[in-house]
Amino acid sequence: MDILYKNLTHFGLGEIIMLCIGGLLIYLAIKKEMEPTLLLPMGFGTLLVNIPFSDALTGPIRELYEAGIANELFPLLLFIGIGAMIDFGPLLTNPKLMLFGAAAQFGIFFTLCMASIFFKDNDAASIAIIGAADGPTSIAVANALKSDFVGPITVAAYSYMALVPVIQPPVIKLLTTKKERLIRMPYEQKSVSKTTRIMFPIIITVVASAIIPQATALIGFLMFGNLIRECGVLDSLSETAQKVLANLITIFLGISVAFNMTDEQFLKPQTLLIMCLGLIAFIVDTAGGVLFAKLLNLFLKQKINPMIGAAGISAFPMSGRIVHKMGLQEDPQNFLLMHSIGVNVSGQIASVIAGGIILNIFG
Amino acid sequence: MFLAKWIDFGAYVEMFKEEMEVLSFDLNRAVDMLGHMGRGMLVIFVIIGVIILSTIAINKVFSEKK
Repeated sequence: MDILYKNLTHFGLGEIIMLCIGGLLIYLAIKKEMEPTLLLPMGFGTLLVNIPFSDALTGPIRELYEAGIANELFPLLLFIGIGAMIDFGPLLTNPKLMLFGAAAQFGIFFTLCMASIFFKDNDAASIAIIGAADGPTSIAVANALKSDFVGPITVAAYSYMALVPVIQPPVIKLLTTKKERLIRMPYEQKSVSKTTRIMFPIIITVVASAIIPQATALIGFLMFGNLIRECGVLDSLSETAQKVLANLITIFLGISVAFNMTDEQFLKPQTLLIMCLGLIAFIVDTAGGVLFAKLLNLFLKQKINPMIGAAGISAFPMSGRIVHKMGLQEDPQNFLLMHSIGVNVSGQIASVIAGGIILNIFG
Repeated sequence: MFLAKWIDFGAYVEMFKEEMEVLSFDLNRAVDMLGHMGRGMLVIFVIIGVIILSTIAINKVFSEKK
């Protein structure tokens, strides 16, 4: 009868804490609807790998991890789906909005400086990429740099992406005046030709990859997905990429990332530090975009509402919608959506480029 | 007795102390990283700048005829 309690005696405090963390992730996913597509599989995977002598850890989860995470394949395949979902139209009508996407990546490099105080270079760079506000980029870069903290980095990246509605508004309000938040930005509807929509992903891929070859896979897969969408002759592939592929890879990604969620890898004082540094990255990203817009306003006759700078992070479309909503709260006639969404999609591009730059420097 | 055997708090405290010792604190590294920060931001702006100019060019070349 000792079979009933034999394995129970192997439970330690670490496993129990991790089971609670797994439960917390599941709770946040279901009850609070915080990034449920990732947090629920991660939470459940955490339960599976923290049972003593779990065959899930040594068997299928390890196999999935080796097959798709260790070689960065799953995040790249997910990028095809993400690229197929993005409409670059608002950005193509006003390409200068991409400058805000670039400015909003400042948080990555600022956090790199902060993280390097405590961690060695590859771990500091992997932690800094949390500021990209992009889960697949964070996983891809952390794995490519062979960081010891892939699990906490992934949890931090996805958790803070879900907390963007909580993190961004106070930072925006702190850095802007009421008068600045009331700046109106009328939107001029312009049509974008189909040829432009087709050429855009090709040009971005070639330009970015030629300068930073380490960004080729990241930017290439994202733009490949977008090209499938825009070419107009692959509707079934576009639909498959947006729905079936994205959902399938998300399931595998979520559960296989749990390979790094064992108590030995997660329950370290460094994990708490990583969570703090990740938060700093998000805050400084937001501040970077807003302050850049304020800087431009010193030289522009037609002023920009600096809030749109905050949408330059990669949390699409949440960040764009938050800025639009804040604009409406200040002035119900101020519709910032098309500008903020344009900046938001540029953040997706800039964050991937930033990931490539990090790999170029530290890879 | 069963609980004490099952949850060895002392071992976890020791492990935590060892991890804290591994955590370094070196401000000089942050200063060293400032160069990477500057270069990284410059490269992002250069690439984005080239993409903006390319996009404006293709918008002009392939604009929809009215």
